[in-house]
Parts: sequence; structure tokens; C-alpha cells
Amino acid sequence: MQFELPQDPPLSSCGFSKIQIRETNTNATFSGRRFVLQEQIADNSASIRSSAKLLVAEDDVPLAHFLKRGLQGSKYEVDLVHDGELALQSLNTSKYDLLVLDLNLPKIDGLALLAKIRPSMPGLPVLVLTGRTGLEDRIMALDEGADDCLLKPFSFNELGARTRALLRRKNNGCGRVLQVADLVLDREQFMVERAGKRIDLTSKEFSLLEYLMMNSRKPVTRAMIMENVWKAPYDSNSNLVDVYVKYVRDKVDIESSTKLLRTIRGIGYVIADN
Amino acid sequence: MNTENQAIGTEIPRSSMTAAMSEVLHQTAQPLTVLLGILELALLQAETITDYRESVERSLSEVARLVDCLNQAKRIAIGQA
Repeated sequence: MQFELPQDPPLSSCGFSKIQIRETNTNATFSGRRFVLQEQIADNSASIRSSAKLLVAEDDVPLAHFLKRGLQGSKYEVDLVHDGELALQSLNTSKYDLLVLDLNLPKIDGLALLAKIRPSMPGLPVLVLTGRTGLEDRIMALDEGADDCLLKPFSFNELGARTRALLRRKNNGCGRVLQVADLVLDREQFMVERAGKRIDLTSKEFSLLEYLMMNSRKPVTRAMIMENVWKAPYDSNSNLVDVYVKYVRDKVDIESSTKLLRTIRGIGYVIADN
Repeated sequence: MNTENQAIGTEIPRSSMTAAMSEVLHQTAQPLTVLLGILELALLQAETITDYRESVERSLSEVARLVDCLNQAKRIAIGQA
């Protein structure tokens, strides 16, 4: 029996209650392997997927836990740290889609942390939280590299909207609906249709298709997929990406004469309409 | 900041009193953010009595933190911080 465990990134325990290995019920064997990993999500909600991975750096423990819980409720994967040193460590060991940063952090404060991470992570969206009412703090934070600023006390709904806006901008300005030929993906309703017919995907299959469609007509490598969809380093011995691409292809392309998802030998995959 | 070098009950200078007061007021921002958020999410997401009860319980502990801040501010105001 052969199966592979993807590397578990540090601090990623939240959100997923367990990783379960199950036998697939497809008759087709792929690369001789019949076992895949199925990540089961804590609350069994069918529509849940980890759309983006967030790091929350906030030293007030009740506030930090509230933010984690609230953001998890918005389908994000959330890691929590309470000081600047741990924030830096997490950012250096794991890939995040967004950082929620309190300015008033112990060990390394928010501004110093921004100065440290900006040279190596220019593309990481940073949403700063500050309790100081002074205008200078917000101006300094933005000048130091923050993308947005929220003054405490703030509305959680506003934090949610600003998070969505920052992630939208990060994703090449891709909107809510992505389309390639007659294949349509709605990122907020977690819905996929081909020629008007609904397609059911698991959370990982959805994230994979979303990533391919965000890069439509541009070939993506297995390493890019592993990093952006699984948020884990690429292991060339693993066929996890190929297995999932096959699942997605079976659901998306099987009934249509036009095949959208193509393999590019030696490079990876591309989704395109011709 | 609290004035460690001053005995309780003695009068503290105006400037350090203002700084202490400002610190306490600053500390109210965290429980207020949590309280506001719990109430917003309860309104949007809570479905069962249990959901609402849990939101109320979590709100109460944030109110307790706000009361602590208030008491601290009172002590500062009468010069007993």
C-alpha cells in the first residue's frame, strides 16, 4: 500500500481536525496508486474550503482568539501569534496570503516587523490594526509598507470586507467570477458550471481549478500549484498534484468535446479555451 | 503608564496621570473590538438558542474587561493608581 502525506506546514493545525486516508472509488488507477489524501474539515460543512491562509499577529489574547474564530468562520485558514518574533518566524517558514498585524506587538513591534519583512515579501498584503488614534501612526504604518489600516475598536464586518478587498487585489485583480470558454467558477458561492451544468468539486479540487483559472492561458508548474493551492513546498517524488489534476479534469472535461485543461510536457498544466 | 515609584494614595503629577489615563483608555479598544464583533457575528450567523447563549456569555467576559478598565480609570482620576 502506497500513499503520500503532504508535508504539514507548521502552525497549520487550525481548521482541519484530521487528515484521513481513504481508498478512492474510481476504477481508473493513476500511476499505479489508488490512495489519496482526503482532508476533512472540522465542522463537516460541505461548502467549506481553505481559500486563503492568514496570519494574525495580535498580542491581546481574547481579541486574537476572536479574530481567529471569526476569520475561520469566513472560510480562511488562520494561524495565530502573539508577538513579533513569532510572527517573523511563521512568515519565514510558511506561505501566507495575508498578514493581519497589530502595531503594538511585544518583542518586535508592528512597524519594525514591517521594515524587516518588506524587502523579502513585497507582495504580501498587510492589514494593520492600531489602537492609537494618532494620524501619524497610520501614516507611518502605510509608509512602512502596510496596505491598509484599521483603527480599534473596529467592526468585524469591516475587517472581513477589507480582507476580501486585499485578497482580491493580490489575485491579479480577479473578480468573483472566473470564466474560461463555457467553464464558469464563482469564488464566493463556491460554484462551478460547465455549459450551464453544475459540477461538484471537493474543496481542494475547487482551489486547484480556481488557481488554474486565475492563471488561464498561462502554464503553471507543479511547484506553483503545490505552493499556492496546498501552501506546502513541492516534493518531486509526490504525485499529489497530478492526482488532483486528474480528478478535476475528469469532472470538468470528460463530458465536453473541447478539452480545456491540458498537460504541458515538462512544465505543468494550463487551462485555456483553444 | 503606571507610576511604579509612587506609593498608592499619593497624588501623582498631572502629566503622568494623563499618560496613565490614556493607556487605560487605549486598553478599552481591545474588549470593545471583540464585543462589537461578537454582536455583529451573532446577528449574522447565530441560529439556535445555544448560539445566542454562547455569544452572550462571550460578550459578558468582554464587558468584565471593560469594567476593569473603567475601575482603573476611576482610581487614576482620584489619584490612587
